[in-house]
Amino acid sequence: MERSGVLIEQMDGNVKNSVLGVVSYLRSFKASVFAFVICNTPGAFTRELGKWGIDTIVEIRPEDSRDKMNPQLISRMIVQAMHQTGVNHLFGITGAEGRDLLPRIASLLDGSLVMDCTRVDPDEYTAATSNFSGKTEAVIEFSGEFHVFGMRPNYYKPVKADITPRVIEFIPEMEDNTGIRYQGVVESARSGVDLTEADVIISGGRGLKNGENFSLLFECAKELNAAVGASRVAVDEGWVPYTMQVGQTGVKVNPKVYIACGISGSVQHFAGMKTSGIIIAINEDENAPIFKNCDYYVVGDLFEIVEHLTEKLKRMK
Amino acid sequence: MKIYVCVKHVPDSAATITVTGENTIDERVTFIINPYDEHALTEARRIRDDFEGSEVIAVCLGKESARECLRSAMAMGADRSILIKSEMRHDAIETAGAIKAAIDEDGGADLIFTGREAIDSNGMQTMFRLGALYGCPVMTNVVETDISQNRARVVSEGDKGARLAYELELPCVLAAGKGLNKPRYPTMPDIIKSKKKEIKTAYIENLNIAPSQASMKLVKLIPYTENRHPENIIGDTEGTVEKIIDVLKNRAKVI
Repeated sequence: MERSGVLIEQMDGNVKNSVLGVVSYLRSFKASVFAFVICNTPGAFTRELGKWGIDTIVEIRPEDSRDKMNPQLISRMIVQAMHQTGVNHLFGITGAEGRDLLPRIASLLDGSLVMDCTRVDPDEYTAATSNFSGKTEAVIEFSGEFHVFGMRPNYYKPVKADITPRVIEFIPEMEDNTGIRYQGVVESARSGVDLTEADVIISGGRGLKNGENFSLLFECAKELNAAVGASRVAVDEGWVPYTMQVGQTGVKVNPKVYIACGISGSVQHFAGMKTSGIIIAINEDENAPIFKNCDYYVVGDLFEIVEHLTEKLKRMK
Repeated sequence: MKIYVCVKHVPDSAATITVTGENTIDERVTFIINPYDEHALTEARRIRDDFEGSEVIAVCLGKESARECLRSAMAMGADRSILIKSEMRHDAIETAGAIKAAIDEDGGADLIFTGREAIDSNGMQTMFRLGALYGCPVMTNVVETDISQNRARVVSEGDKGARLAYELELPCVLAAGKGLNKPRYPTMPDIIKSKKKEIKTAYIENLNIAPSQASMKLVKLIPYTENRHPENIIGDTEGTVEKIIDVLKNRAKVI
Protein backbone atom coordinates (compact mmCIF):
# COMPACT_ATOMS: atom_id res chain seq x y z
CA MET A 1 0.00 0.00 0.00
CA GLU A 2 2.61 2.50 -1.08
CA ARG A 3 0.07 5.00 -2.26
CA SER A 4 -3.18 5.48 -0.42
CA GLY A 5 -5.97 7.75 -1.42
CA VAL A 6 -8.26 9.63 0.93
CA LEU A 7 -11.61 10.98 -0.11
CA ILE A 8 -11.79 14.48 1.33
CA GLU A 9 -15.18 15.45 2.75
CA GLN A 10 -16.09 18.87 3.98
CA MET A 11 -18.66 20.22 6.34
CA ASP A 12 -19.50 23.88 6.82
CA GLY A 13 -16.47 24.85 4.73
CA ASN A 14 -13.87 22.81 6.64
CA VAL A 15 -12.37 19.40 6.04
CA LYS A 16 -14.12 16.98 8.38
CA ASN A 17 -12.08 16.14 11.43
CA SER A 18 -12.83 12.45 11.06
CA VAL A 19 -11.28 12.52 7.57
CA LEU A 20 -8.09 14.00 9.03
CA GLY A 21 -8.12 11.14 11.55
CA VAL A 22 -8.06 8.72 8.62
CA VAL A 23 -5.08 10.60 7.16
CA SER A 24 -3.17 10.17 10.42
CA TYR A 25 -4.10 6.47 10.48
CA LEU A 26 -2.67 6.03 6.96
CA ARG A 27 0.53 7.81 7.91
CA SER A 28 1.02 5.14 10.57
CA PHE A 29 1.46 2.69 7.66
CA LYS A 30 4.13 4.92 6.15
CA ALA A 31 1.88 5.25 3.12
CA SER A 32 2.22 8.12 0.71
CA VAL A 33 -1.13 9.84 1.16
CA PHE A 34 -3.03 11.23 -1.82
CA ALA A 35 -5.96 13.49 -1.00
CA PHE A 36 -8.73 13.53 -3.61
CA VAL A 37 -10.71 16.72 -3.50
CA ILE A 38 -13.25 18.18 -5.87
CA CYS A 39 -12.31 21.83 -6.05
CA ASN A 40 -12.50 24.61 -8.59
CA THR A 41 -10.27 27.04 -6.73
CA PRO A 42 -6.62 26.05 -7.21
CA GLY A 43 -4.75 25.71 -3.92
CA ALA A 44 -7.88 26.06 -1.79
CA PHE A 45 -6.94 23.10 0.38
CA THR A 46 -3.15 23.23 0.31
CA ARG A 47 -2.65 25.05 3.59
CA GLU A 48 -5.19 23.14 5.59
CA LEU A 49 -4.30 19.68 4.30
CA GLY A 50 -0.57 20.38 4.57
CA LYS A 51 -0.89 20.54 8.35
CA TRP A 52 -1.91 16.91 8.56
CA GLY A 53 0.70 15.15 6.49
CA ILE A 54 -0.86 14.84 3.06
CA ASP A 55 1.85 14.18 0.48
CA THR A 56 -0.14 14.90 -2.66
CA ILE A 57 -3.35 16.79 -3.21
CA VAL A 58 -5.23 15.79 -6.34
CA GLU A 59 -7.47 18.72 -7.20
CA ILE A 60 -10.26 17.43 -9.37
CA ARG A 61 -11.77 20.21 -11.44
CA PRO A 62 -15.00 19.34 -13.16
CA GLU A 63 -15.57 21.56 -16.18
CA ASP A 64 -19.24 21.79 -15.41
CA SER A 65 -19.72 22.64 -11.73
CA ARG A 66 -23.21 21.11 -11.79
CA ASP A 67 -21.52 17.72 -12.03
CA LYS A 68 -20.50 18.15 -8.39
CA MET A 69 -24.08 17.57 -7.39
CA ASN A 70 -24.34 14.18 -9.04
CA PRO A 71 -22.88 11.48 -6.75
CA GLN A 72 -22.38 9.05 -9.63
CA LEU A 73 -20.36 11.65 -11.58
CA ILE A 74 -18.30 12.53 -8.49
CA SER A 75 -17.53 8.84 -8.12
CA ARG A 76 -16.46 8.63 -11.73
CA MET A 77 -14.17 11.65 -11.28
CA ILE A 78 -12.52 10.00 -8.27
CA VAL A 79 -12.07 6.73 -10.17
CA GLN A 80 -10.46 8.53 -13.12
CA ALA A 81 -8.17 10.44 -10.77
CA MET A 82 -7.18 7.20 -9.00
CA HIS A 83 -6.25 5.62 -12.33
CA GLN A 84 -4.33 8.73 -13.33
CA THR A 85 -2.27 8.75 -10.11
CA GLY A 86 -1.82 5.00 -9.71
CA VAL A 87 -3.71 4.82 -6.42
CA ASN A 88 -5.32 1.43 -5.77
CA HIS A 89 -6.44 1.88 -2.16
CA LEU A 90 -9.01 4.50 -1.27
CA PHE A 91 -10.08 5.41 2.26
CA GLY A 92 -13.02 7.49 3.36
CA ILE A 93 -15.36 7.68 6.32
CA THR A 94 -18.64 5.91 6.89
CA GLY A 95 -20.84 9.01 7.20
CA ALA A 96 -23.76 9.96 4.97
CA GLU A 97 -21.53 11.13 2.12
CA GLY A 98 -19.14 8.18 2.32
CA ARG A 99 -22.05 5.74 2.42
CA ASP A 100 -23.17 7.22 -0.88
CA LEU A 101 -19.84 7.67 -2.67
CA LEU A 102 -17.55 4.84 -1.51
CA PRO A 103 -19.80 1.98 -2.69
CA ARG A 104 -20.30 3.75 -6.04
CA ILE A 105 -16.52 4.07 -6.40
CA ALA A 106 -15.88 0.44 -5.40
CA SER A 107 -18.54 -0.73 -7.88
CA LEU A 108 -17.05 1.32 -10.71
CA LEU A 109 -13.61 -0.12 -9.93
CA ASP A 110 -15.00 -3.64 -9.49
CA GLY A 111 -12.99 -3.52 -6.29
CA SER A 112 -13.54 -4.73 -2.75
CA LEU A 113 -15.23 -2.55 -0.16
CA VAL A 114 -15.45 -2.81 3.61
CA MET A 115 -17.47 -0.17 5.44
CA ASP A 116 -17.35 0.94 9.09
CA CYS A 117 -13.79 -0.35 9.50
CA THR A 118 -11.89 0.03 12.72
CA ARG A 119 -8.68 -1.53 11.38
CA VAL A 120 -7.14 -2.37 8.04
CA ASP A 121 -4.17 -4.66 7.64
CA PRO A 122 -2.84 -4.06 4.11
CA ASP A 123 -0.24 -6.85 4.36
CA GLU A 124 -2.70 -9.50 5.46
CA TYR A 125 -5.44 -8.13 3.19
CA THR A 126 -7.88 -7.99 6.07
CA ALA A 127 -10.12 -5.31 7.54
CA ALA A 128 -12.06 -5.34 10.82
CA THR A 129 -15.61 -4.11 11.01
CA SER A 130 -18.58 -4.95 13.22
CA ASN A 131 -21.39 -7.42 12.59
CA PHE A 132 -24.66 -8.25 14.35
CA SER A 133 -25.44 -4.90 15.96
CA GLY A 134 -21.90 -4.54 17.20
CA LYS A 135 -22.05 -7.81 19.11
CA THR A 136 -19.13 -9.23 17.16
CA GLU A 137 -16.11 -7.89 15.38
CA ALA A 138 -15.86 -9.29 11.87
CA VAL A 139 -12.53 -9.78 10.11
CA ILE A 140 -12.98 -9.53 6.36
CA GLU A 141 -10.40 -10.80 3.89
CA PHE A 142 -10.49 -8.74 0.71
CA SER A 143 -9.09 -9.53 -2.70
CA GLY A 144 -8.89 -7.92 -6.10
CA GLU A 145 -6.97 -5.11 -7.70
CA PHE A 146 -8.69 -2.14 -6.08
CA HIS A 147 -9.74 -1.71 -2.47
CA VAL A 148 -12.03 0.80 -0.85
CA PHE A 149 -12.51 1.27 2.89
CA GLY A 150 -15.03 3.33 4.80
CA MET A 151 -13.46 3.92 8.21
CA ARG A 152 -15.59 4.40 11.31
CA PRO A 153 -15.86 8.16 11.82
CA ASN A 154 -13.88 9.61 14.73
CA TYR A 155 -12.21 6.29 15.52
CA TYR A 156 -8.77 7.70 14.79
CA LYS A 157 -7.79 11.12 16.02
CA PRO A 158 -5.95 13.55 13.74
CA VAL A 159 -2.27 14.06 14.54
CA LYS A 160 -0.51 17.12 13.14
CA ALA A 161 2.28 16.57 10.64
CA ASP A 162 3.54 19.56 8.72
CA ILE A 163 4.62 18.96 5.16
CA THR A 164 4.23 20.86 1.94
CA PRO A 165 1.97 18.84 -0.29
CA ARG A 166 2.50 18.47 -3.99
CA VAL A 167 -0.57 19.60 -5.90
CA ILE A 168 -1.79 17.82 -9.01
CA GLU A 169 -4.56 19.26 -11.11
CA PHE A 170 -6.89 16.80 -12.76
CA ILE A 171 -9.62 17.57 -15.25
CA PRO A 172 -11.99 14.64 -15.55
CA GLU A 173 -13.68 13.62 -18.75
CA MET A 174 -17.35 13.70 -18.13
CA GLU A 175 -20.31 12.59 -20.08
CA ASP A 176 -23.56 12.63 -18.16
CA ASN A 177 -25.21 9.37 -18.98
CA THR A 178 -25.77 8.41 -15.35
CA GLY A 179 -29.56 8.69 -15.51
CA ILE A 180 -29.43 10.85 -12.37
CA ARG A 181 -30.42 14.53 -12.30
CA TYR A 182 -29.91 16.63 -9.23
CA GLN A 183 -33.03 18.69 -8.52
CA GLY A 184 -32.03 20.75 -5.52
CA VAL A 185 -32.19 20.98 -1.75
CA VAL A 186 -35.56 20.16 -0.24
CA GLU A 187 -34.42 20.79 3.29
CA SER A 188 -31.03 22.10 4.35
CA ALA A 189 -28.80 20.45 6.92
CA ARG A 190 -29.51 21.11 10.58
CA SER A 191 -27.26 23.62 12.23
CA GLY A 192 -25.10 22.56 15.15
CA VAL A 193 -22.61 19.79 15.58
CA ASP A 194 -22.94 16.65 13.46
CA LEU A 195 -23.46 13.47 15.49
CA THR A 196 -20.86 11.44 13.61
CA GLU A 197 -18.25 14.19 13.95
CA ALA A 198 -18.97 15.18 17.55
CA ASP A 199 -16.44 14.84 20.37
CA VAL A 200 -19.24 15.05 22.91
CA ILE A 201 -22.80 13.80 22.56
CA ILE A 202 -25.62 14.29 24.98
CA SER A 203 -28.55 11.99 24.28
CA GLY A 204 -32.04 11.69 25.66
CA GLY A 205 -34.44 8.78 25.95
CA ARG A 206 -37.72 7.87 27.58
CA GLY A 207 -36.70 9.72 30.72
CA LEU A 208 -37.00 13.05 28.87
CA LYS A 209 -40.79 12.53 28.94
CA ASN A 210 -41.57 14.84 26.00
CA GLY A 211 -40.11 16.74 23.07
CA GLU A 212 -40.03 20.14 24.79
CA ASN A 213 -37.70 18.80 27.46
CA PHE A 214 -35.06 18.16 24.82
CA SER A 215 -34.37 21.90 24.89
CA LEU A 216 -32.60 21.18 28.16
CA LEU A 217 -30.16 18.93 26.29
CA PHE A 218 -29.73 21.44 23.46
CA GLU A 219 -28.80 24.15 25.95
CA CYS A 220 -26.27 21.93 27.65
CA ALA A 221 -24.93 20.84 24.24
CA LYS A 222 -24.31 24.48 23.33
CA GLU A 223 -22.02 24.88 26.34
CA LEU A 224 -20.19 21.62 25.59
CA ASN A 225 -19.99 22.11 21.82
CA ALA A 226 -21.79 18.79 21.75
CA ALA A 227 -24.30 17.17 19.40
CA VAL A 228 -27.68 16.03 20.69
CA GLY A 229 -28.78 12.45 20.10
CA ALA A 230 -31.78 10.39 21.05
CA SER A 231 -32.84 6.83 21.71
CA ARG A 232 -35.33 5.05 19.52
CA VAL A 233 -38.12 5.59 22.06
CA ALA A 234 -37.71 9.37 21.89
CA VAL A 235 -37.87 9.18 18.09
CA ASP A 236 -40.81 6.77 17.90
CA GLU A 237 -42.73 8.95 20.34
CA GLY A 238 -42.21 11.80 17.88
CA TRP A 239 -40.31 13.95 20.38
CA VAL A 240 -37.37 14.51 18.03
CA PRO A 241 -36.68 13.72 14.34
CA TYR A 242 -35.36 10.24 13.55
CA THR A 243 -32.18 11.76 12.13
CA MET A 244 -31.14 12.25 15.77
CA GLN A 245 -31.48 8.57 16.60
CA VAL A 246 -28.33 6.86 17.82
CA GLY A 247 -28.33 3.08 17.51
CA GLN A 248 -28.71 0.06 15.32
CA THR A 249 -31.16 1.67 12.92
CA GLY A 250 -29.89 5.17 13.52
CA VAL A 251 -26.54 6.89 13.48
CA LYS A 252 -23.44 5.10 14.75
CA VAL A 253 -21.31 7.45 16.78
CA ASN A 254 -17.87 7.56 18.28
CA PRO A 255 -17.51 10.56 20.56
CA LYS A 256 -14.92 11.00 23.29
CA VAL A 257 -17.78 11.37 25.74
CA TYR A 258 -21.34 10.07 25.48
CA ILE A 259 -23.79 11.36 28.08
CA ALA A 260 -26.95 9.22 28.14
CA CYS A 261 -29.86 10.93 29.89
CA GLY A 262 -32.89 8.84 30.75
CA ILE A 263 -31.79 6.08 28.37
CA SER A 264 -32.15 2.53 29.68
CA GLY A 265 -29.55 1.18 27.25
CA SER A 266 -31.05 -1.44 24.95
CA VAL A 267 -28.80 -3.67 22.86
CA GLN A 268 -29.90 -1.69 19.80
CA HIS A 269 -28.89 1.60 21.38
CA PHE A 270 -25.50 0.19 22.38
CA ALA A 271 -24.95 -0.90 18.79
CA GLY A 272 -24.74 2.78 17.90
CA MET A 273 -22.56 4.12 20.72
CA LYS A 274 -20.64 1.33 22.40
CA THR A 275 -17.28 2.43 21.03
CA SER A 276 -17.60 5.86 22.69
CA GLY A 277 -14.58 6.86 24.78
CA ILE A 278 -16.33 7.54 28.08
CA ILE A 279 -20.00 6.79 28.72
CA ILE A 280 -21.77 8.74 31.45
CA ALA A 281 -25.29 7.56 32.24
CA ILE A 282 -27.90 9.48 34.18
CA ASN A 283 -31.10 7.64 35.02
CA GLU A 284 -33.70 7.57 37.77
CA ASP A 285 -33.96 3.80 37.62
CA GLU A 286 -31.13 2.20 39.53
CA ASN A 287 -31.70 -1.03 37.56
CA ALA A 288 -31.19 0.60 34.14
CA PRO A 289 -29.09 -1.85 32.05
CA ILE A 290 -26.90 1.01 30.88
CA PHE A 291 -25.41 1.24 34.38
CA LYS A 292 -23.70 -2.12 33.85
CA ASN A 293 -22.06 -0.92 30.66
CA CYS A 294 -20.79 2.58 31.24
CA ASP A 295 -17.89 4.37 32.89
CA TYR A 296 -19.82 6.64 35.25
CA TYR A 297 -23.40 6.53 36.36
CA VAL A 298 -25.68 8.71 38.38
CA VAL A 299 -28.93 7.47 39.89
CA GLY A 300 -30.95 10.62 40.01
CA ASP A 301 -33.12 13.27 38.43
CA LEU A 302 -31.69 14.05 35.01
CA PHE A 303 -33.53 17.38 34.77
CA GLU A 304 -31.91 18.67 37.91
CA ILE A 305 -28.47 17.40 37.02
CA VAL A 306 -28.41 18.57 33.39
CA GLU A 307 -29.76 22.00 34.28
CA HIS A 308 -27.17 22.41 36.98
CA LEU A 309 -24.43 21.17 34.67
CA THR A 310 -25.43 23.73 32.03
CA GLU A 311 -25.41 26.54 34.60
CA LYS A 312 -22.02 25.54 35.88
CA LEU A 313 -20.54 25.29 32.39
CA LYS A 314 -21.88 28.77 31.59
CA ARG A 315 -20.23 30.19 34.68
CA MET A 316 -16.93 28.55 33.80
CA LYS A 317 -16.67 30.61 30.60
CA MET B 1 -44.72 -2.01 -13.44
CA LYS B 2 -42.58 -4.83 -12.06
CA ILE B 3 -41.15 -3.93 -8.71
CA TYR B 4 -38.61 -6.20 -7.05
CA VAL B 5 -37.82 -5.86 -3.37
CA CYS B 6 -34.62 -7.45 -2.10
CA VAL B 7 -35.06 -8.71 1.43
CA LYS B 8 -32.63 -10.31 3.85
CA HIS B 9 -33.31 -12.81 6.61
CA VAL B 10 -31.29 -11.55 9.58
CA PRO B 11 -31.01 -12.37 13.30
CA ASP B 12 -33.18 -10.10 15.44
CA SER B 13 -31.03 -7.27 16.77
CA ALA B 14 -32.08 -8.24 20.30
CA ALA B 15 -30.93 -11.86 19.84
CA THR B 16 -27.94 -13.18 21.74
CA ILE B 17 -25.22 -13.89 19.22
CA THR B 18 -22.98 -16.83 20.07
CA VAL B 19 -19.93 -17.35 17.91
CA THR B 20 -19.61 -21.09 17.31
CA GLY B 21 -16.62 -21.48 15.02
CA GLU B 22 -14.10 -19.28 13.30
CA ASN B 23 -16.74 -17.38 11.37
CA THR B 24 -20.14 -18.87 12.23
CA ILE B 25 -22.82 -18.16 14.80
CA ASP B 26 -25.42 -20.31 16.51
CA GLU B 27 -28.42 -19.70 14.25
CA ARG B 28 -30.98 -21.01 16.71
CA VAL B 29 -32.17 -17.47 17.37
CA THR B 30 -35.12 -15.44 16.12
CA PHE B 31 -34.71 -14.26 12.55
CA ILE B 32 -36.60 -11.31 11.08
CA ILE B 33 -36.86 -9.36 7.83
CA ASN B 34 -34.10 -6.79 7.85
CA PRO B 35 -35.83 -3.66 9.27
CA TYR B 36 -34.91 -1.35 6.38
CA ASP B 37 -36.38 -3.86 3.93
CA GLU B 38 -39.75 -3.40 5.64
CA HIS B 39 -39.70 0.24 4.58
CA ALA B 40 -38.81 -0.90 1.06
CA LEU B 41 -41.72 -3.37 0.97
CA THR B 42 -44.19 -0.81 2.29
CA GLU B 43 -43.14 1.70 -0.36
CA ALA B 44 -43.21 -0.87 -3.17
CA ARG B 45 -46.73 -1.88 -2.23
CA ARG B 46 -47.87 1.73 -2.20
CA ILE B 47 -46.39 2.32 -5.67
CA ARG B 48 -47.93 -0.88 -7.01
CA ASP B 49 -51.37 0.36 -6.00
CA ASP B 50 -50.80 3.51 -8.11
CA PHE B 51 -50.11 1.57 -11.30
CA GLU B 52 -52.65 -0.87 -12.59
CA GLY B 53 -51.30 -4.28 -13.49
CA SER B 54 -48.20 -3.84 -11.34
CA GLU B 55 -46.60 -6.55 -9.34
CA VAL B 56 -44.31 -6.62 -6.29
CA ILE B 57 -41.88 -9.53 -6.11
CA ALA B 58 -39.75 -10.14 -3.02
CA VAL B 59 -36.32 -11.68 -3.66
CA CYS B 60 -34.14 -13.26 -1.03
CA LEU B 61 -30.78 -14.99 -1.21
CA GLY B 62 -30.57 -17.40 1.68
CA LYS B 63 -30.99 -20.82 3.18
CA GLU B 64 -34.17 -22.87 3.20
CA SER B 65 -35.11 -21.09 6.45
CA ALA B 66 -35.30 -17.76 4.57
CA ARG B 67 -38.70 -18.90 3.23
CA GLU B 68 -40.08 -17.52 6.49
CA CYS B 69 -38.73 -14.13 5.57
CA LEU B 70 -40.43 -14.28 2.16
CA ARG B 71 -43.71 -15.33 3.81
CA SER B 72 -43.51 -12.22 5.97
CA ALA B 73 -42.64 -10.12 2.92
CA MET B 74 -45.73 -11.45 1.13
CA ALA B 75 -47.86 -10.81 4.20
CA MET B 76 -46.58 -7.24 4.05
CA GLY B 77 -47.72 -6.90 0.47
CA ALA B 78 -45.45 -8.68 -2.01
CA ASP B 79 -47.54 -10.59 -4.59
CA ARG B 80 -45.08 -13.44 -4.95
CA SER B 81 -41.44 -14.14 -4.23
CA ILE B 82 -38.23 -15.79 -5.30
CA LEU B 83 -35.91 -17.66 -2.97
CA ILE B 84 -32.39 -17.94 -4.34
CA LYS B 85 -31.32 -20.93 -2.39
CA SER B 86 -27.79 -21.27 -1.10
CA GLU B 87 -26.34 -22.81 2.02
CA MET B 88 -23.22 -20.67 1.71
CA ARG B 89 -22.44 -17.15 2.81
CA HIS B 90 -22.02 -14.70 -0.07
CA ASP B 91 -20.43 -11.29 -0.18
CA ALA B 92 -22.26 -8.26 -1.59
CA ILE B 93 -20.76 -8.72 -5.05
CA GLU B 94 -21.97 -12.32 -5.37
CA THR B 95 -25.29 -11.41 -3.77
CA ALA B 96 -25.92 -8.66 -6.29
CA GLY B 97 -24.87 -11.00 -9.11
CA ALA B 98 -27.28 -13.68 -7.92
CA ILE B 99 -30.18 -11.25 -7.48
CA LYS B 100 -29.60 -9.75 -10.92
CA ALA B 101 -29.50 -13.19 -12.52
CA ALA B 102 -32.69 -14.27 -10.74
CA ILE B 103 -34.53 -11.08 -11.73
CA ASP B 104 -33.37 -11.42 -15.34
CA GLU B 105 -34.65 -14.97 -15.40
CA ASP B 106 -37.95 -13.77 -13.99
CA GLY B 107 -38.39 -11.21 -16.75
CA GLY B 108 -36.61 -8.04 -15.66
CA ALA B 109 -37.39 -5.07 -13.41
CA ASP B 110 -38.75 -1.54 -13.73
CA LEU B 111 -37.86 -0.70 -10.17
CA ILE B 112 -35.71 -2.45 -7.56
CA PHE B 113 -35.87 -1.69 -3.87
CA THR B 114 -33.44 -2.68 -1.13
CA GLY B 115 -32.89 -1.48 2.42
CA ARG B 116 -30.04 0.96 2.89
CA GLU B 117 -28.11 -1.69 4.84
CA ALA B 118 -28.61 -5.05 6.50
CA ILE B 119 -28.34 -5.15 10.27
CA ASP B 120 -26.30 -8.37 10.38
CA SER B 121 -23.34 -7.79 8.08
CA ASN B 122 -23.75 -4.01 7.53
CA GLY B 123 -22.04 -4.13 4.14
CA MET B 124 -23.94 -1.03 2.86
CA GLN B 125 -23.24 -1.78 -0.79
CA THR B 126 -25.44 -4.43 -2.41
CA MET B 127 -27.70 -1.77 -3.99
CA PHE B 128 -24.72 -0.12 -5.66
CA ARG B 129 -23.33 -3.44 -6.89
CA LEU B 130 -26.76 -4.16 -8.38
CA GLY B 131 -26.87 -0.74 -10.04
CA ALA B 132 -23.41 -1.30 -11.52
CA LEU B 133 -24.48 -4.67 -12.96
CA TYR B 134 -27.55 -3.12 -14.54
CA GLY B 135 -25.77 0.07 -15.50
CA CYS B 136 -28.72 1.89 -13.99
CA PRO B 137 -28.99 4.74 -11.47
CA VAL B 138 -28.96 4.07 -7.72
CA MET B 139 -29.97 6.27 -4.81
CA THR B 140 -29.43 5.37 -1.18
CA ASN B 141 -31.08 6.49 2.04
CA VAL B 142 -34.21 7.35 0.09
CA VAL B 143 -36.85 9.01 2.27
CA GLU B 144 -39.41 10.06 -0.35
CA THR B 145 -40.46 8.69 -3.73
CA ASP B 146 -42.67 9.90 -6.53
CA ILE B 147 -42.73 7.39 -9.36
CA SER B 148 -44.08 7.86 -12.85
CA GLN B 149 -43.99 5.62 -15.92
CA ASN B 150 -40.34 6.23 -16.82
CA ARG B 151 -38.73 8.18 -14.01
CA ALA B 152 -38.44 8.28 -10.24
CA ARG B 153 -38.30 11.51 -8.30
CA VAL B 154 -36.70 10.78 -4.96
CA VAL B 155 -35.42 12.58 -1.92
CA SER B 156 -32.25 11.23 -0.32
CA GLU B 157 -31.10 12.15 3.13
CA GLY B 158 -27.52 13.25 3.70
CA ASP B 159 -25.39 14.66 6.51
CA LYS B 160 -27.18 16.38 9.38
CA GLY B 161 -30.60 15.62 7.96
CA ALA B 162 -30.12 17.51 4.67
CA ARG B 163 -32.69 16.37 2.09
CA LEU B 164 -31.69 16.43 -1.56
CA ALA B 165 -33.95 15.79 -4.52
CA TYR B 166 -32.93 13.74 -7.57
CA GLU B 167 -34.64 12.50 -10.67
CA LEU B 168 -33.68 9.00 -11.82
CA GLU B 169 -34.43 7.24 -15.06
CA LEU B 170 -36.11 3.84 -14.77
CA PRO B 171 -35.14 1.15 -14.21
CA CYS B 172 -33.34 2.19 -11.05
CA VAL B 173 -32.35 0.87 -7.65
CA LEU B 174 -33.66 2.65 -4.55
CA ALA B 175 -32.33 1.86 -1.07
CA ALA B 176 -34.87 2.66 1.63
CA GLY B 177 -33.93 4.81 4.60
CA LYS B 178 -35.77 4.89 7.88
CA GLY B 179 -37.62 8.10 7.05
CA LEU B 180 -39.31 6.67 3.95
CA ASN B 181 -42.54 5.57 5.62
CA LYS B 182 -44.00 3.77 8.57
CA PRO B 183 -43.82 0.04 7.82
CA ARG B 184 -47.23 -1.42 7.20
CA TYR B 185 -47.44 -4.50 9.36
CA PRO B 186 -49.71 -7.33 8.20
CA THR B 187 -53.16 -8.04 9.53
CA MET B 188 -54.46 -11.57 10.15
CA PRO B 189 -56.15 -11.75 6.70
CA ASP B 190 -52.86 -10.59 5.11
CA ILE B 191 -51.04 -13.45 6.80
CA ILE B 192 -53.63 -16.02 5.73
CA LYS B 193 -53.59 -14.74 2.15
CA SER B 194 -49.80 -14.81 2.05
CA LYS B 195 -49.80 -18.56 2.64
CA LYS B 196 -51.36 -19.06 -0.80
CA LYS B 197 -48.82 -16.88 -2.59
CA GLU B 198 -46.07 -18.43 -4.65
CA ILE B 199 -42.43 -18.80 -3.62
CA LYS B 200 -40.37 -19.70 -6.65
CA THR B 201 -37.06 -21.40 -5.87
CA ALA B 202 -33.93 -20.63 -7.83
CA TYR B 203 -30.64 -22.40 -7.16
CA ILE B 204 -27.58 -20.23 -7.06
CA GLU B 205 -25.45 -22.80 -8.90
CA ASN B 206 -27.83 -22.68 -11.88
CA LEU B 207 -27.80 -18.91 -12.23
CA ASN B 208 -25.72 -17.04 -14.74
CA ILE B 209 -23.79 -14.78 -12.36
CA ALA B 210 -21.37 -12.13 -13.66
CA PRO B 211 -17.82 -12.82 -12.46
CA SER B 212 -15.86 -10.25 -10.45
CA GLN B 213 -12.16 -9.99 -9.69
CA ALA B 214 -12.89 -8.70 -6.19
CA SER B 215 -14.25 -10.43 -3.12
CA MET B 216 -14.84 -9.84 0.56
CA LYS B 217 -14.76 -12.95 2.72
CA LEU B 218 -15.70 -13.13 6.38
CA VAL B 219 -12.83 -15.06 7.95
CA LYS B 220 -13.29 -14.46 11.64
CA LEU B 221 -15.94 -13.39 14.12
CA ILE B 222 -14.81 -12.21 17.52
CA PRO B 223 -17.39 -11.65 20.27
CA TYR B 224 -17.31 -8.08 21.48
CA THR B 225 -16.38 -7.93 25.13
CA GLU B 226 -17.36 -5.07 27.34
CA ASN B 227 -14.55 -4.00 29.60
CA ARG B 228 -15.92 -0.91 31.24
CA HIS B 229 -15.84 -0.63 35.01
CA PRO B 230 -18.85 1.45 35.98
CA GLU B 231 -18.24 3.92 38.78
CA ASN B 232 -21.24 5.19 40.70
CA ILE B 233 -21.24 8.93 41.23
CA ILE B 234 -22.90 9.48 44.58
CA GLY B 235 -23.73 12.74 46.24
CA ASP B 236 -25.96 15.79 45.99
CA THR B 237 -26.57 17.58 42.68
CA GLU B 238 -23.67 19.97 43.27
CA GLY B 239 -21.21 17.18 43.99
CA THR B 240 -22.45 15.07 41.10
CA VAL B 241 -22.11 17.91 38.62
CA GLU B 242 -18.64 18.75 39.92
CA LYS B 243 -17.57 15.15 39.35
CA ILE B 244 -19.02 15.15 35.80
CA ILE B 245 -17.16 18.36 35.02
CA ASP B 246 -13.98 16.86 36.43
CA VAL B 247 -14.37 13.87 34.08
CA LEU B 248 -15.06 16.12 31.08
CA LYS B 249 -12.15 18.37 31.88
CA ASN B 250 -9.41 16.19 33.26
CA ARG B 251 -10.07 12.72 31.94
CA ALA B 252 -11.76 13.31 28.58
CA LYS B 253 -10.21 16.75 28.05
CA VAL B 254 -13.18 17.99 26.06
CA ILE B 255 -13.73 21.27 27.93
